[in-house]
Amino acid sequence: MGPLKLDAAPAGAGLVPPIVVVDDDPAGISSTLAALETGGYSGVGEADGDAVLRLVRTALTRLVVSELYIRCADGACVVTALKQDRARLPRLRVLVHTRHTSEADTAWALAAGCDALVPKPAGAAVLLREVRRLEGGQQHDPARLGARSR
Amino acid sequence: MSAPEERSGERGHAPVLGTAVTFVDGEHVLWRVTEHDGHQVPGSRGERCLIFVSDWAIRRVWDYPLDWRDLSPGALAVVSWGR
Repeated sequence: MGPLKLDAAPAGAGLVPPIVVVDDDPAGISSTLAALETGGYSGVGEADGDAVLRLVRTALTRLVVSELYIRCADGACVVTALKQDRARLPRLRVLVHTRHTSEADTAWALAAGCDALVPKPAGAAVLLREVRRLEGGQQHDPARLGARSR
Repeated sequence: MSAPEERSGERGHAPVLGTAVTFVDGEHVLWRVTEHDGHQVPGSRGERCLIFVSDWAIRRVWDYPLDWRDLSPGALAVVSWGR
């Protein structure tokens, strides 16, 4: 599957690399991209792990929102491969947004090095709060206050 | 990929260091905070990290004060917003 969207930047945010959304379920990519758009972020969807690695390494991506257990040639899953590549991706943050919600899955995600995890299903406000945190946003963003529903 | 049950045995998260702390933030969300060895974490940014767990999200924080267990709930909430 190729990129679903190639918008360059969030509205009003200048030349900011898009967030890369990784999911083996096209519906999952679409829903996550839609949630990001409500927060003013643009994203690129990708299902193939190796394509994700190429895309992130060439696009100066700052944030990846990824499902768990997406295979790639560099490692057991794309989350680990990305987090292990600090030489090329020193500032990259990875948020795991996953339908795999058992304790074992969560332990796996943390062992893979993720910076945050948001289980599915989650409302856009919940996902956007964690995106803003990893993007270095303010804690008390008025846009997120009072919007905690999943 | 293999079934989750098989995958879970391949590796686990770094063990907890010391005692956990729980607090409720300003939005009435209950958080459980644990400290972990960061050496084996892919992309490690330090010797240790904090993991904040709630029903809504999990956060990993590398930059935090040594006396984090003594902080007020409000201060811990601020720390959880770090990276």
